[in-house]
Amino acid sequence: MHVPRSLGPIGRTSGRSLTVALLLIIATAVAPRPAWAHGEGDSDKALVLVRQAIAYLVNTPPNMDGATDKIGDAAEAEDKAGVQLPLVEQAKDAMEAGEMGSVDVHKVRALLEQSIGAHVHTGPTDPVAIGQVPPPVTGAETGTLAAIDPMPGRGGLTGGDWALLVISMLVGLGGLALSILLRPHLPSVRRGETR
Amino acid sequence: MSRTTTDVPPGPAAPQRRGWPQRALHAIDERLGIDAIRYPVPAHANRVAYSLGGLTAFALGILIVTGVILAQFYNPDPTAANESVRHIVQAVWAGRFIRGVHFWAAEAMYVLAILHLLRIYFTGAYKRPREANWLIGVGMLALTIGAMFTGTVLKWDQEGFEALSHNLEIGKLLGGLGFWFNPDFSSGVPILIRLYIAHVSIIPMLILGLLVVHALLVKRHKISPAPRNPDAAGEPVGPFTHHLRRIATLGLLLLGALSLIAVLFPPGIGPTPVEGIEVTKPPWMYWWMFTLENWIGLSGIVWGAGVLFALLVAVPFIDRNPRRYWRQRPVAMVLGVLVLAALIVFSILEGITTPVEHLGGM
Repeated sequence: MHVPRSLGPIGRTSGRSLTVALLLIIATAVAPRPAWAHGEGDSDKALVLVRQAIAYLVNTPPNMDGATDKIGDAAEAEDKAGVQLPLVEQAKDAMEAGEMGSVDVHKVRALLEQSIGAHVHTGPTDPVAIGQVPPPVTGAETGTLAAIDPMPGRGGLTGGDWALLVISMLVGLGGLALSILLRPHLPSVRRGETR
Repeated sequence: MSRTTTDVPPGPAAPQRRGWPQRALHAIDERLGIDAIRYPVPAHANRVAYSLGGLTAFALGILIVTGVILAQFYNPDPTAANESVRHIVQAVWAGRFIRGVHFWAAEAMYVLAILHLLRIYFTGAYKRPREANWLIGVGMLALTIGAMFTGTVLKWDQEGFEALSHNLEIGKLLGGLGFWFNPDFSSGVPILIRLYIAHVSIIPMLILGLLVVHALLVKRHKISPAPRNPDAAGEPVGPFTHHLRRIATLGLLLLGALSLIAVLFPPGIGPTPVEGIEVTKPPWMYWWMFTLENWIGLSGIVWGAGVLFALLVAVPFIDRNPRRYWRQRPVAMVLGVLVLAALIVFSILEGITTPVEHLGGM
């Protein structure tokens, strides 16, 4: 079989063009570009800060520090559009009052939700978002007005769960039985290896 | 080299076929050539350690089937994504179970792929002439991690969104190379929808494409001999279909175990996400990278992942020792164990620490 020892003129030109094109693509790709607007510094918008305060209450319920900071920032934010400040002030008072004893998280959260026009949460089975964000949602926007509660994996085992458990066990046992029954004989391999 | 070939089936023209199923099979084989998969493989290929690649593919099959079902009910619109997952769990018949199997099969696929890679590394099966197949495997591992990441984001809870936020910031660090993670790249389309397309179409398509090449190269170069018997002296062989049968039975066992876990420990779903806070931990398979992030900032993730994958790619070109038995490869063994130990220690460190904010006050 004839094997060309070198590329001809056409091949060399194509190779150079390909190299140049590749270098251009890489240069274009790695050239610095302006960063896109995504979370640079604390927000000065009360609406954003209230949403973050609610998210802290939902995500880190035992720890009130994050929520307290955000509520304080929201009350003093320059841009107060979309927020009923009196309700935020009430939430702030409720948090401060709670510092002497236990914080009424439900009350604080409900006040914050109402302050941005969301519905008051009803628990982890909230069927839909508890507030509507203005459409359209683009880029990396979350589409969440007020965070809803997490949903645990499951509660107690239902009748259906028990049926699925039995079927799963049967499938697993079937697999185990077949893998033993159809197990290939390997001793000769080990003998071969030890030679 | 002497091989017992009694287990190898005769060629397509020889067998005496009886009954309509055999005739149907013969007719199909005559036209599609499926008998080609009955190529001979050594007996040691049927050990569990040598079946890990097949089991990874089996887990991928479970993921595709359950994923197709979930896709009928999942809504990738950011305003409805979290809600649609809750709907699947609460209102769709067997939805919680299907989602649970999908979740645990993804974990299983990741673990099996890692174990498969470790088996290849410690038996030296990446050596000549199998370097290309090692690289394809490393590529599939990267795609599997990509599928895990996009799947984490798709449930669109706080954990998923924080994972995405990290990637958005890493995209910035990468400059132009991170363009795909720039929300402005396609500003009219929510990035969640682009990630959904990657999760259900681009990544699976690439994995399946590479899987086909991977399998063809396994056939081309044959399953690597046992390290202590590189000439396969005295080892019997059997048809590849027996290997497939072995994988199918072990896969059935895997399916049963995953189903059991899915019923007992179905995954929950976190609160709808809000940008600007960082309160969750990433899924456990990313923990080692986040320890590096805790130490040196966001770039730790880029450097950690970059160095690990660069090492994986370089392995067959650095390790020129032709021997494959582990006792004859002390340097490769020590380096492999060190890297593995570092990943485990870094993961444990992240597991026992509380979440730290890295994304700045957003």
